[in-house]
Amino acid sequence: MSIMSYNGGTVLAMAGEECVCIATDLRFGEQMTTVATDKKKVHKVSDKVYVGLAGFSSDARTMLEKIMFRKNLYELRESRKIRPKVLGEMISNLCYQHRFGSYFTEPLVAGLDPDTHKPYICAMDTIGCIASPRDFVAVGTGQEYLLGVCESYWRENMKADELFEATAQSMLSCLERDAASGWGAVVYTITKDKVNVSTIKARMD
Amino acid sequence: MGHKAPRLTSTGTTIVAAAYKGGLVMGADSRATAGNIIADKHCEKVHKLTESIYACGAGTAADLDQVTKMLSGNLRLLELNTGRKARVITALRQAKQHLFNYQGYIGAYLLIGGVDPTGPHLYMCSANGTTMAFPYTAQGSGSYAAITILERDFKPDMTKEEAESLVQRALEAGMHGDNASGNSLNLVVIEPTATVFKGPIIPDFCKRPEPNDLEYKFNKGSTKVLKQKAYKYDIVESMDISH
Amino acid sequence: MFGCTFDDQDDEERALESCKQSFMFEPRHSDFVFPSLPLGIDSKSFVSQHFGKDAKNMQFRKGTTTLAFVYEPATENDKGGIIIAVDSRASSGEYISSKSVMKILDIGDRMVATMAGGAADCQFWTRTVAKYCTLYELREKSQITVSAASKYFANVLYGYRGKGLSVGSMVAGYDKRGPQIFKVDSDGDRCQLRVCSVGSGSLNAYGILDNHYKPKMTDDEARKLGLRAIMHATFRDSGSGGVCNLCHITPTEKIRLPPFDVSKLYYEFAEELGKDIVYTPRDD
Repeated sequence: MSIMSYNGGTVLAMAGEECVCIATDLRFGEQMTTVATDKKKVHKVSDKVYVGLAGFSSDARTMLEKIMFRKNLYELRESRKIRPKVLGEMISNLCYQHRFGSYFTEPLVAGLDPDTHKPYICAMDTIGCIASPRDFVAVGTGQEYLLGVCESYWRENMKADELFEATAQSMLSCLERDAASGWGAVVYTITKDKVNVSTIKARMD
Repeated sequence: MGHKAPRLTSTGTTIVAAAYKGGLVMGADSRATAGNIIADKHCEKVHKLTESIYACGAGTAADLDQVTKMLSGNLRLLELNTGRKARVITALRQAKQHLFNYQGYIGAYLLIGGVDPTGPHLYMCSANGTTMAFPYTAQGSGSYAAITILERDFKPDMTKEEAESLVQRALEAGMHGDNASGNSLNLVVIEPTATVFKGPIIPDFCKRPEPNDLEYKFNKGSTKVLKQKAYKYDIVESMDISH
Repeated sequence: MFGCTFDDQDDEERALESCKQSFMFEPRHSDFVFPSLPLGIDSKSFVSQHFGKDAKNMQFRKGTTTLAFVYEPATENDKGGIIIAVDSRASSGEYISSKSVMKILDIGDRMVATMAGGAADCQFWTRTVAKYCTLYELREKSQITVSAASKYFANVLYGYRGKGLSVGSMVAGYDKRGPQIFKVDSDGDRCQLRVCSVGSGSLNAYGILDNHYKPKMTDDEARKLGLRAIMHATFRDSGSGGVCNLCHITPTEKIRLPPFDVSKLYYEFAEELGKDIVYTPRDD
């Protein structure tokens, strides 16, 4: 068993028109055993910028603390809110610093530009290779299922409520087939004037 | 401990470059893979080093991004310090010395090409630091298919149009014959006077067989929401950025 | 032409005779012969060499929870007997390859076998046991005991011991000796138990069973116990899930109950307890 699926977990982000959705499952496991069902893998970094960390949980936690540290320094030095693209680049560099002994976590960034409200999503591998498509990104144990299903659920210029449904349904489809993720899911819908956090009904097995 | 290493994104790639009379054409496909999955359909594998030097990369994607970022930074500093345009050989030397230092552990296989006052140049730089000069070459997993086209059709002193079409055909052969290459291609034509970037060009065989115009649309409320909470942003009235 | 007819009749009689003969004897264990591997190749090392160390991709494995228990009726209105409850998930690694597998297989009118381990191994060898039982009953004109059927099963598995079979099965049924459960596995082990659970979620199921099992229960209580144990096992064990299939073998009949969605059961269960299991959204 790979260390990347020791704890399990999946994160998905989709971009719409002036909105992004980021979804996470809630399982925290140890190989086959589910230990907790309230472990979200998405964290708020700034008002409209969220980061998802899938993979080995203790590395994800360390990574999150490093990210927050760097982001806080950035915002203090620059006296402005961090843009998601900048955060992505920052995390990528952070990952690459550990090129020959990487943290076993795949980061994902989703957010809106604080000024232009342009959506930005990106995912990277454990050593920080950024993939930033315009449609959707996924990381974690359910990545393969998500990439497939999102390919048909995603459409151009979705509004916030449509985007929420597409993201939630893609996530639920993934959880049906991935044994290492599930036990509840949370979807964050980030729009220019608010963030909607919804716990959606998912299977508990 | 027998843990499997996590899958890294690699640019299972076709990259091609060919020199012609007075210039150079370089190109790459745009697929990044991680194992059997396509991690990125439109990734940029033609990296700009300076205004007239470009690098195409194959191998580990994160390494390529970082190496080319480092090179472009160093070359820009060099240009500012000397007040002259950087030479291709300089870029190559910097790349090879960096890569040799890491004994091949940085998985970057580069084609570095460009035009400088000494004319058009094309070099290949392997991850372990080996370098070679070529009039035309291909690299990456799709290079076997691509090189056949180059070997057959390459002529010295081609026109710009001929060279561009040759590189594009070679790339298409690579994208067609190699599973790890595809989706779209990017070209860059470098001449002493101007550099033109073209892309993404999507070959016919890379297009989706049927455009996705079916309405896989969920009605509002089709996902059952158990709990919900909305958070408004704190509005910062003004921010002092005077110092 | 007439001669032909005569010959045919003769042939038929001869065929009948030989058929009778062959069935009067103790049946061979299995007519099926596996093509043997070339000399010097051991099946287990062959598999691990070509399919990886734990050979997870070679076959669907049932990350499974199966359980069975015997109980006596608490009141006169109850039937008592055996409850067999299983989940329905088939997985290979983290991939859920099926959500609706029937893991209770019929062996006879009053006997079932549950499957845990390799799916193909379980299905094939259960079929072999079922065939043996049918032939036995035709020959002996009496029902085979659960003990005999499970012993045959265990003997077959013992014959293939060390070759990499993966079977964990419970043979449960009602015969002249009453309700009985035998646990059989691919090591060749066979033991009789009154409360039994097999599979990756078995420990979780035992937790519920040990806590709530009573020798005397009403039918309703017993069915609920089986359901509850499976539900809790599927909650903790990522290898188990889907629906809960229940089978109740009473002294007179075998009742297969309609499947219960375990996820739905969990939500109902939480509501029953008044427990708020839904994650409360936070924006931190």
